[in-house]
Amino acid sequence: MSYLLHLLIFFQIYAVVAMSLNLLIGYGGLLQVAHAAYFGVGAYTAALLWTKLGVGFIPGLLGAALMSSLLSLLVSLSAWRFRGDYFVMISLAVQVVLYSLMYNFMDITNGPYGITAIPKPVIMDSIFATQEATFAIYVVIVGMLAFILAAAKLSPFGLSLQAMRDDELAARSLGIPVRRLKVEAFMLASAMVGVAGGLYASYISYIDPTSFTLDESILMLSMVIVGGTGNVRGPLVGAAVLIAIPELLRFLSLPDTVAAHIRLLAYGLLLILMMHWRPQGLAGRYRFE
Amino acid sequence: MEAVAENLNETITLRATEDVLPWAVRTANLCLAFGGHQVLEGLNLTLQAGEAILLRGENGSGKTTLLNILSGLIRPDAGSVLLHLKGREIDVTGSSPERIARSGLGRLWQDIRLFPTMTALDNVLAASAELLDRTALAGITCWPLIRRQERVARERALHNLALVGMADRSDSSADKLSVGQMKRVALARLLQAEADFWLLDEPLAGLDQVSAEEILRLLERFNTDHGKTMLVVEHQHERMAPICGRMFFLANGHLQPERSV
Repeated sequence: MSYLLHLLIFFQIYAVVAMSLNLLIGYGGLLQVAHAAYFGVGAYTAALLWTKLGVGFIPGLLGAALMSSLLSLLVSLSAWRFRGDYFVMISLAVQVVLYSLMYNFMDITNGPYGITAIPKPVIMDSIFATQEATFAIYVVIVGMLAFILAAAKLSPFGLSLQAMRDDELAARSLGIPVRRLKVEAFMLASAMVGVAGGLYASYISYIDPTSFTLDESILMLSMVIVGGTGNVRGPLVGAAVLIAIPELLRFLSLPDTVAAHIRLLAYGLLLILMMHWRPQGLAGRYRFE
Repeated sequence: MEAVAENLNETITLRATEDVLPWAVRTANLCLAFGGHQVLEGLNLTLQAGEAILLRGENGSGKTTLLNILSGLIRPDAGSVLLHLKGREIDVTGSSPERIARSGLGRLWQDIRLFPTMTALDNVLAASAELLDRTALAGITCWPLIRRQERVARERALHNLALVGMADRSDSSADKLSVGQMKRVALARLLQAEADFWLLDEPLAGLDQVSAEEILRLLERFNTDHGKTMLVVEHQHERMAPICGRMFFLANGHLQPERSV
């Protein structure tokens, strides 16, 4: 039961990650490979707010959302003109820079040693220490985040975002403000993944930079590509599949030194197969190209 | 003495015409060169509000380039472009394409450029002038209000689709429509965007006779009944000429008037 709950809590966290990335890729056509870095910024911000400043659980999550979205604002204001390969290169650079900061900014992040003893959720003097309680409170938080994303997607903002994805030039010629749209999409997605980072930090109770590497960004990207983009269920399916794969590999009883490599090979193979046989993903609507 | 009186009369007549029909677009000494080739050389063009002009020229003569300058996609090397739409004047050369579009300029692209993954209705709805400024934050925090505004815009979009005879295909995916249907949806999109000055790049290209007649009928209607100002680039000039008041030929960077109706 506790193993299943552990997987379900991980699914909740990565569902938020995949849904927020889907907003960028599936709805906006903006390929992002720095999502793990923003996830890490959220995790570190929340962990520092909780452990150093003693702020509450919810204010810590809000702080994580704010810090991640402000960072993405800085990046997207300067990078909004770029599309396609150039934009991917910029987001790759952001991933590398933020990871380096987490690793080397010893005074704040404690570098490779990470931050320990991150507290469990406490809301109005109620401690959510058990797995069941954590799962329950995460259901509420993830549900609210999903509602916010759905409201944004169903609003004129979502329609404009899809128009920009389909044809940016045609969108601009209709007066759709693509610059503002990109900035807003990045801020919203980064705020969401920042909160997911906070949820991750609180659940694991220990974070270090190795959880926020480029590999992790590619895993997040894989969730969206495998599950499918452009609708709600695609990224959820992708998150479930990509969380299940390493768990299934456990049954093969591979040595630890080999298991990690096999996992990466399995992800790579899955991505190649999906791109070839089903570019729209397992349950997606938009054909990823 | 008679000559002076004749000149005076002519001036008065011209001024009277300008008072009745204010100018909508005015380019002055427009110059642009690509790789040493002078595409436009001191081009002057004025369109009165509600006027339809046909622009002809050989392939590569700079017709689409002129449309790109008017849309704000290319900056000319020299010269100015002023739009006078919806009671406001805007300098195109210093504005973004988005701002120019919002001031009332709309474009029918040669390759149509509908949003292929969206329905015909959503294609039109995405152009709604009243929804363009709605931010993501507004969509989240003022959800009921935004939904109400969207409902109004949706009704207007359906009305505009009906005007172009596409109401029954509103739920069809844009990439499943024929070329003629796509062009009609694109025209509905211009209506939805409340564009007053239409740049039409080869509106009849790729159409059979029946579809071309339908597009011509619509363009004539939007010009005469809705007062849309139009600059039309079209190779099939003999078909387009009857609905255009003036015709120009673009060659060697200069505009030459061909006919005045």
